[in-house]
Amino acid sequence: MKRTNPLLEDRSVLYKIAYYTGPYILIVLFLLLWNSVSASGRSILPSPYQTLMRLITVWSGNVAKHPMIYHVWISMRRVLTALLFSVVVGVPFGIAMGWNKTFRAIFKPLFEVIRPVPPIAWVPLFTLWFGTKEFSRVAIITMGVFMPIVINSYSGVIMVPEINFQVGKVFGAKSTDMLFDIVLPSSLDAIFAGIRTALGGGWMVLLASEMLGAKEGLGFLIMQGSSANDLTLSIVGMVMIGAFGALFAYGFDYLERWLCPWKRK
Amino acid sequence: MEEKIILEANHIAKTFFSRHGDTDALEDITLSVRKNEFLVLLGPGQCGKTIFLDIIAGLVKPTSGTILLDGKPVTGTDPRIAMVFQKTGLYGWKTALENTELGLKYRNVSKAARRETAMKYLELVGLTGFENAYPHALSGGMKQRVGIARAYSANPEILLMDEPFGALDAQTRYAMEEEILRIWEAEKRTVIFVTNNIEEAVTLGDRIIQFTERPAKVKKEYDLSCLPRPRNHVSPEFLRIRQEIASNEELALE
Repeated sequence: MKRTNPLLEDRSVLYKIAYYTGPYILIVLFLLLWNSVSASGRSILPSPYQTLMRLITVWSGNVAKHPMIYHVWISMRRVLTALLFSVVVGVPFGIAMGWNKTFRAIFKPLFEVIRPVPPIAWVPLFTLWFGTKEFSRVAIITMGVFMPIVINSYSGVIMVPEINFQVGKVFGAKSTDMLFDIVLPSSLDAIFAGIRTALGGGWMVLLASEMLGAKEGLGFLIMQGSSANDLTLSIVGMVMIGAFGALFAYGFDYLERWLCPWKRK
Repeated sequence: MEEKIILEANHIAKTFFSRHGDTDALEDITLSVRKNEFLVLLGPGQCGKTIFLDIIAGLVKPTSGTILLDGKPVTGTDPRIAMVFQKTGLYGWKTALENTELGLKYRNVSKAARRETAMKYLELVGLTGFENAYPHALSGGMKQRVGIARAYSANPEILLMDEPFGALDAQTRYAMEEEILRIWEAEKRTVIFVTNNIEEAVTLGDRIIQFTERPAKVKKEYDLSCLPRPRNHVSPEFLRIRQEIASNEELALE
């Protein structure tokens, strides 16, 4: 069966051209703007070409004593460890908070107090407690990704439409059926949205976490570029985070469609 | 004619208490339902018909009064009572077949047996070939067909229908009225059907019980056993009853 894009039905040729070329045109415009700013000479911004050349050198040899792929891998491992922990602990925690009134009454106030504290604010405490080891870094990223995952899982459960419960009751759903067969799938949308927000937040906190005496990682490369007055290296680090962050986001969308077949239109 | 009474509502009243004052929704409703009849509860919008249905279903507790099923009081939901909801209440993450199996699944019927039952009722409602479709891919009328198949599959004695066609367009609504009668003729069950549409009530019911404005009481009862099925919408008798019911209907004063 031929798949057609519903956005493109009954649209003019011009619209179709804009639809397919738009994203590329925007990227080219962005690069042109960047290039003109760096060529104007009023700042020491490296040009896109210089950045690209640096990107190639950086990938073909070592940078800061390690191959580039190692920096990428280390940063990814930090973000993913924090994310995995937060999903495994945070999703059940959020669901429990939405599902059980007693659990909510006990845990919600403490949670609400901890929530507004920025993840980076934990840096001094974690350094004191755990030193500048890998554990501290993952812990800081965890502080950033745990909260959105819990909050979204919680509100997903809270917002399950009343009719879903009524249908369950009428057709004899027991408590476990209600939780696993009705509430959980009803809130999957919100849970996935939480994980997606968390993923973005994780890359943000990464930089702060790698300030803690890291000797490798993408955030470390950005800091390294800053202290060595090597702006091109910093930009290379930014480009890498952007590229891998986007790759993750797309991969995650794919995972969601695979896990939730009912959403495939 | 001897008919068995399957369900009795005795002096059912419901008051909602809140900070802004109490609201009487139902005021002393007593009625009995005969086995395998098609009973229509007719009343103006917001009059409390749905609350009454929810009380029979065991979803809402009455403030006073009792519901007797086969002579014994019912408290809470009961496997002998199933419901078709106005908003369909299908689970978007389940296929038509899985939605239809719901009542059997929660009552621990084996997978093979519930599949067989569900397939049978999906066929009865005319949805063979759509077993694996998710609700978002079905039209409004088809969704409600799944809702009907789901209620039938639970194998209840009483089917409650809460304005099941209220959200459908007029064309689909007429088609579904014919469908529900065809299904009911094929698989006789006791049906309690709530609507605010007089024509729908006269088309479907063996009996119509008319409710008053809120707080709802039984206003009048109409026996339509004299009207032959299938009903002719323009027969003098049909129009006469329709007219009579309309003149008794209270119009909400605005």
